[in-house]
Amino acid sequence: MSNDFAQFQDAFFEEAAEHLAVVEEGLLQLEQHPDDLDLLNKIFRSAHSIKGASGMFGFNAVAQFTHKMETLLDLLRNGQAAVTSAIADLLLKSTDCLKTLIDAAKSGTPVDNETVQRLTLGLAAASDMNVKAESKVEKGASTSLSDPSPLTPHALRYFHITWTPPEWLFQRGLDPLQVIKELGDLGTLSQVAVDVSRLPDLAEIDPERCYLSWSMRLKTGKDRQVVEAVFDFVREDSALTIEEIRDKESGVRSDGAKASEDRAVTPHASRLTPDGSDSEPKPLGEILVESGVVSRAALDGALAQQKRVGEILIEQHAASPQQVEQALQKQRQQEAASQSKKADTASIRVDTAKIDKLINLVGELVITQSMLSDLGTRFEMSQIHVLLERMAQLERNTREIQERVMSIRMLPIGTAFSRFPRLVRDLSAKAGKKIQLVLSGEETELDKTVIESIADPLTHLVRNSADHGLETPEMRLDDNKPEVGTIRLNAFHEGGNICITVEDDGRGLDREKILAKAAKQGLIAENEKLTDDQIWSMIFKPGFSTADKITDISGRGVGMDVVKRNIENLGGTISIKTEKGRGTRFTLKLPLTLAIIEGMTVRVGRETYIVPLLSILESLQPRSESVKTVIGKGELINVRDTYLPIVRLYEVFSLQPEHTDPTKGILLILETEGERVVVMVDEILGQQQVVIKSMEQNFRKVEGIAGATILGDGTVGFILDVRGLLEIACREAPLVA
Amino acid sequence: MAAAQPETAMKGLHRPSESAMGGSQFLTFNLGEELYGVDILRVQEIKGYTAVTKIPNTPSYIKGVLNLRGTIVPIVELRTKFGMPTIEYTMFTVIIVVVVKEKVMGLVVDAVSDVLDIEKRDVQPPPNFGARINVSFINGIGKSGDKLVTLLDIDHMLSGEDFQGVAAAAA
Repeated sequence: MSNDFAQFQDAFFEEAAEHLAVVEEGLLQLEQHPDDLDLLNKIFRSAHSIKGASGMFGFNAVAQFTHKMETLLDLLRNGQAAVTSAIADLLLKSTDCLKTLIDAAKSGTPVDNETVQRLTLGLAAASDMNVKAESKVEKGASTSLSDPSPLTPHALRYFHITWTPPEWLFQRGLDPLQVIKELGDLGTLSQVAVDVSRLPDLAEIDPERCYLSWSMRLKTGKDRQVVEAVFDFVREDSALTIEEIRDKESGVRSDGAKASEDRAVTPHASRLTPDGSDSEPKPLGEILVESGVVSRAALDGALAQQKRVGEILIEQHAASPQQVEQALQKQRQQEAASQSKKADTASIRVDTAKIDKLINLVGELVITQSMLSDLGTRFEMSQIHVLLERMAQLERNTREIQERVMSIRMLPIGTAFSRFPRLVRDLSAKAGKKIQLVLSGEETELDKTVIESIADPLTHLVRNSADHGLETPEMRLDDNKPEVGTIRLNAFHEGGNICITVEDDGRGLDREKILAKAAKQGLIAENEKLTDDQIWSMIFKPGFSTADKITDISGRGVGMDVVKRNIENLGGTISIKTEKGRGTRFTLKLPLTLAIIEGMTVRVGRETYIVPLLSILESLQPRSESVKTVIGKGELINVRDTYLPIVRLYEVFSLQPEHTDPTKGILLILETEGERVVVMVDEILGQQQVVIKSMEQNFRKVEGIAGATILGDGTVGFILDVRGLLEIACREAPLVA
Repeated sequence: MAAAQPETAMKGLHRPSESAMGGSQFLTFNLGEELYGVDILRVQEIKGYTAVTKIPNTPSYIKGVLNLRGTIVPIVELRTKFGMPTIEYTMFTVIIVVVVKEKVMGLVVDAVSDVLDIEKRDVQPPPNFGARINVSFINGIGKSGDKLVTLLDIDHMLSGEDFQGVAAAAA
């Protein structure tokens, strides 16, 4: 059963994350509109769902904590308490805490109990302050939290159980006998009695209804949570009492709470992972004992002497206890992080409409295929036009299916944007600035993997805008600007790309400051002539920061280079537009998907290569007078008064070209990381979408080649890596095989 | 190599009775007059030679890559790898697709020959030719009747830095 359960757990975590997002978003809005009852109801519903589900899955701490939040939310909902910023803040912090609790439940790691306790108390205090009547519920919940059963787990206990199953029990295919059998497995059942009083006359019996109820006595070594867990699947609408009989004589201890609200749960139920302990290797000591080399006592003695590395270091004064504690903390975090990474099963929620559409298209494809094979069996040359028509239809079907399948991986970018309202709220509080966040284009769709990988770079850009871009309210007022600064996040499609802009109306980049800093760090020579774009791109250099002081938000000069690298890894570009005193805009240009790129097929000699269309600026056939040489060798071409170096693809790749004269071949002007290069090929064949295939899978990375693809005729073509080409060309001697 | 192979259908020369004695089955192929063998369990398939796409800036014995049902498979020309003269491809020229450390690769050979059982005691260690010939990718010399089969260690042969590391100079 545990395996099935684990499967449901994944669904729970996924849903919990969604509900948490709703709660957080709702709370942020609630701060602006404290009287919005619909909003409160929405938050309440999500919190309630988390509580219910976590209780069912045995995440006790989560359920308890959510219950506290719910109590407070309920008060707000009933108008017994008002939404103040203090309460909103408390609830937001609680949401964070809940998130960590759920993560902890997921990875099975311990949580920071102090925070949980503090917030629990805070929530209780906030609820208590307002209404006395609620305190009863509070107490009820908190006793079961702080009341680990007074009995030792292995002592035998007696439970008196009465159970009236819901009438729909049979309709859902559940068998009461199974439940009773399962109880029997826990210990010894006695005095099992069935109550048939509700049973109607035979003529009136509805065979799909359950009219029976049972009472029984269970003698078991397990505690009550285990007993309750047996009823997990039939609990809904059941009338269930489980009373523990303390002593046969002294009577009944009445902690038989109704099985509706506080579902206490077994601690081990939260670790329902497949049991792998059998296959684990034994510790060395065990093996030694087993093989009779040492005695058990000797081993225990040796183990008692063994110390933790941390303790030894402290003893030798190599590290302070605090340092060791910090390191341990870090280790735990890393463990948790690696575990949660492992636990993450990638899944995607797809709109049913998308799948329906896909099924329709597959239907069409099948029809086209049968028409074609029908035509094939009795084909005559006179029907060639029919054949061509059907082929065209097949092509259309295929293309549509391809697009639809790709769109399944597409998610609205709003999922990545949703974290920013909270971020900006916290940043504005921390930096003492008034910031307004405007989101647009949230419905723009892009590939799931792309969304996941841009979340961090975007966060960084927003932080930067809040910290460096926007001024303090006083400075803004001095500059005749509105007191509240604005950060705009926008996403839209442009060509085959998606553009995301992060824009602020702050102070803009300071040209002089950047130049001075760059000169100081030796990135540029003093008095070097630079274009604006070149200057702005300085901020992407590692270790570059113009911030006067380092804050805990940003300013360490780590980050912009990472942002740029991440974006480029996705095959995208980042550009800056800025105006002093008016603001800065970062534009990220990203491909829609990572698996397919738009490419230009070119020919060199007898080989075909694909150049990513994104990197092509233009192509041209030069006149002989615009090609110049430097030192007799290095070729330059004049493109609208800028001289660019020419790289001959056949030289770099040691091929046999058709043309060696630039005026006969075709020159492609390519751009990579802001650098331009002209690549010479024999001919441009056309433009097409290509599926990227890995070269590393069976071979290795080849310099100058980004990947392979399969061309229309079934042979392999290579996709050029413009950056790599440039690197090969820059080397003194070309690499010859 | 030592694992006994299940007896499978074989051609007449050698009876299955020999096979269960710690020998192995080898797919043998020709390069010129010489006979070579690879462990048959490493062979994924044999296919006729089709044109490949040359990979720029790789050693000459790496013939190129091939589209094998959607995956990109590098093709090694064994003649060049062994420093033998290249010949015109004929209708017998085939690509033996082998699996080397989870990577799939193809070997171009003159022709496939046979599947042979070679017992362990019929395999002698690689001869020592001194510096003249590199024998590091030879597992041993197998005897099968009056035939001599050079047994190749394809793991060693096809997992050097040419296949994994950065660009290496020609062999």
